[in-house]
Amino acid sequence: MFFIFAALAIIGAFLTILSPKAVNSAMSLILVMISLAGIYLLLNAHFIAVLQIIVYAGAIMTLILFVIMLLPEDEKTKQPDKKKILTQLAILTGAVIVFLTLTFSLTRDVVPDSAGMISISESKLADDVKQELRSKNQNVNKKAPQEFSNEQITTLRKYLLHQQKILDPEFGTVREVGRLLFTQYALAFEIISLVLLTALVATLFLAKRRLNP
Amino acid sequence: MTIPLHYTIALASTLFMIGAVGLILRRNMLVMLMCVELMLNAVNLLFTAFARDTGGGDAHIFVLMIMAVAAAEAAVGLAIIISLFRTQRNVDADSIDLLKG
Repeated sequence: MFFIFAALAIIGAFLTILSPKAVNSAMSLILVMISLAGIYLLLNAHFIAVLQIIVYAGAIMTLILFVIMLLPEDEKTKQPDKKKILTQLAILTGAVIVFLTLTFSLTRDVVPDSAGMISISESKLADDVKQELRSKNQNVNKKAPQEFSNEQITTLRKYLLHQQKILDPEFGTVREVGRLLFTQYALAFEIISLVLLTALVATLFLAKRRLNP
Repeated sequence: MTIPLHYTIALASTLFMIGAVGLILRRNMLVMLMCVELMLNAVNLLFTAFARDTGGGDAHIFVLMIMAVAAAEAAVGLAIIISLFRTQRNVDADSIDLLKG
């Protein structure tokens, strides 16, 4: 499955930079975005996969297609002759770098102590965590073995999972990413909204004003 | 199914280099913008792969931020392209020399 998506993404990327018409480039880029969304799904990043399709393949590419529609087709698409050496040099450099990265990442162990999280089902996990919680409960709090608060359970669960190299079944779901986004990374969230607001104002300003040559 | 980490790294670096070569080769500003999007996507893929490998959810927040910045960048870039086209009548990156005095 991974190889299908990867092949589609690479073919799409090549078509993006090689097709002479901008519309074909945009369509190939949409192919790349959707294949990447598939790979995100394989990487347990559900929320990111959905966002990839909605934001990239949906919003950004529609915007680019609209602008392509507004601008007329370029007549002179062929490159001038003096650029030929530069072109060949760029292709050569790119090919060499891709070859080097491929050789390094495929032959050597890039991350020697790779965590290699394994994923298990939620029901099995729940039993394990409950068991562990019960034992901790008795150790720590012998006098009053009441239930833990939700927050403590979450923290302990994360710790146990990390210790046993088990991927949290909630990893990458909307719930988990949303929880992080509104608690630990609330400031980043606010900054994102500021950036978007600035971009909005700047776009309005640029689109309304006429550049005077 | 678990994908080995180095497969994703190889894919991401290949996509990034294709984007970079396209950015150097193409002179159409729209295609150049698309190549930048391609490179940003490669970085997103790398973030997600490492997040899956280490089990931390924090990288997804970074990916979200990159997506928002990419959207903002696309909007501003396209506005600049349209504004340039109004005065210059083409979108060829080599023929734009407004700052040449």
